[in-house]
Amino acid sequence: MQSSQDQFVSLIQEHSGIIYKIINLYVDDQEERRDIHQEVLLQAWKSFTRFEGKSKFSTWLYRVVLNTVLTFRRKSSSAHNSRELMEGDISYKPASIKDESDALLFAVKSLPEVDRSIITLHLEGYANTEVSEILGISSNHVGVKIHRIKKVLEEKLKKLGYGS
Amino acid sequence: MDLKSAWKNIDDQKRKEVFEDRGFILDAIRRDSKTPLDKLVRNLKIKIIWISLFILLFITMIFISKYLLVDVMIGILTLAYILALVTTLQERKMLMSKYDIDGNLLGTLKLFYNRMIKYHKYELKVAVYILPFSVATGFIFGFLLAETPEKTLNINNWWFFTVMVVYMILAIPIGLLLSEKMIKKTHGKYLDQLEANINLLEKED
Repeated sequence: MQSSQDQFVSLIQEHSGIIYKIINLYVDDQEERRDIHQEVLLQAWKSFTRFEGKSKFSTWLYRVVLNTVLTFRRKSSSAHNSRELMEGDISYKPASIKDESDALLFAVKSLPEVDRSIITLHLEGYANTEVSEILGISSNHVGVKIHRIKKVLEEKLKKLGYGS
Repeated sequence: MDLKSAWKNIDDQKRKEVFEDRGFILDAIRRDSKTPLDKLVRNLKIKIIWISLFILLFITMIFISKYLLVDVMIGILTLAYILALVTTLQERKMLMSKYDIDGNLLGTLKLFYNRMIKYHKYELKVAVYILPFSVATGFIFGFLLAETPEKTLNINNWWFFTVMVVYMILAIPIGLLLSEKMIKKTHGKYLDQLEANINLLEKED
C-alpha cells in the first residue's frame, strides 16, 4: 500500500504543470521561482491531510498554489517589467515571442495579479462557478471580470501583432 | 485568436523539469516555511528570548542596587518588560494559529492582511512598553556598574528619579513614531500589495 508521502509525490508529479504554470505567471526571477516552488510544495504537503477528494486534486492544487504565490512573494520592481513595457510602449515586442501562445503568455503576465489568476482558471477550462469558489467571489462577478479581462487581452495581443 | 487553444499550446515541457525530481519534492516538504507570517513567528521567538534575558537582568539589578528609588525604577521597568513578554507570547500564539492555505483566495489574502495588521498593533504596543524604558535602563545600569565602594554616584535622589520619569514619558511618542516608520519600511509594501489584491477581487467591474 502507498504511504501518504508516496501518494503525495506521485500526485504532485502528475500535476506539476499546474504549479509551474502559475509560478511562471507571477515570478520572472529564477532564484525566486525555486523558492516559491519549494514553499508551494511544503504548503501543499502540510494541507494534504485535509484533501478529502471532494474536489479534483488539480482544483485543490490550484487553490494552494494561487494562495501561496499571492501571499508568499513580495513584489520586486523587476516583477513589473513586462506590465510596464506593455503599457508604456505599444510597439514593444520581446524577441522571445515566436507564436501566438508566447504572445498570450506575455499578455497575461502583463495583467494585474488578480486578473491573471481569473483568466488562467478560465483558460484552463474551469467554469465560472468553480472559479468563483476558488477565488471567493460571486460567479456573476467572475463572468463580468472575465469579459473585461478578455477585452484587455485582445487589445494587448493586437499591439503585439496577434489580433484577430 | 482562440485564447483557449493558444493557452493549451504553451510549451509545457520546461515546466516539468523541476517537479519530476522526487528528491526536490521531498527536500521541499522537509524544510521550514518561509511565508511572511512564519518569518514573523521566528522573529517573535528571538524577541521572547531577549525580553526574558532582560527581565532576568532587571531582577539581578534589584539585588545589586542598594537604593530604594533605583529599586522602584527597576521595578517599573521589570513590569513593563513582563507586559511586553506576555503580549509577545500572545502575539506568537495568534500568528501560529492554523489557517487553511487551501481555502479561497480572497479569504486567504484577508487572513494574511488581518494578521499583519494585528502584528503592527502589537509592534506599536511593545514600542510603548519597551523602547522608552530600554534607554532608562541603560542609564541606571551604567550608574550602578560605575559605582565603587570609594566612589558612590548619587542616583538615589528625587532629581534623578524625576528626570528618568520625564524622559520615559517624552520617549513614548518618539518610540511610537520610530516603530511606525520601521513597520512601514519593513512591511509597508507587502501590506499594500495584499490590500491592492483584496480590493481588485472585491471591486465590481
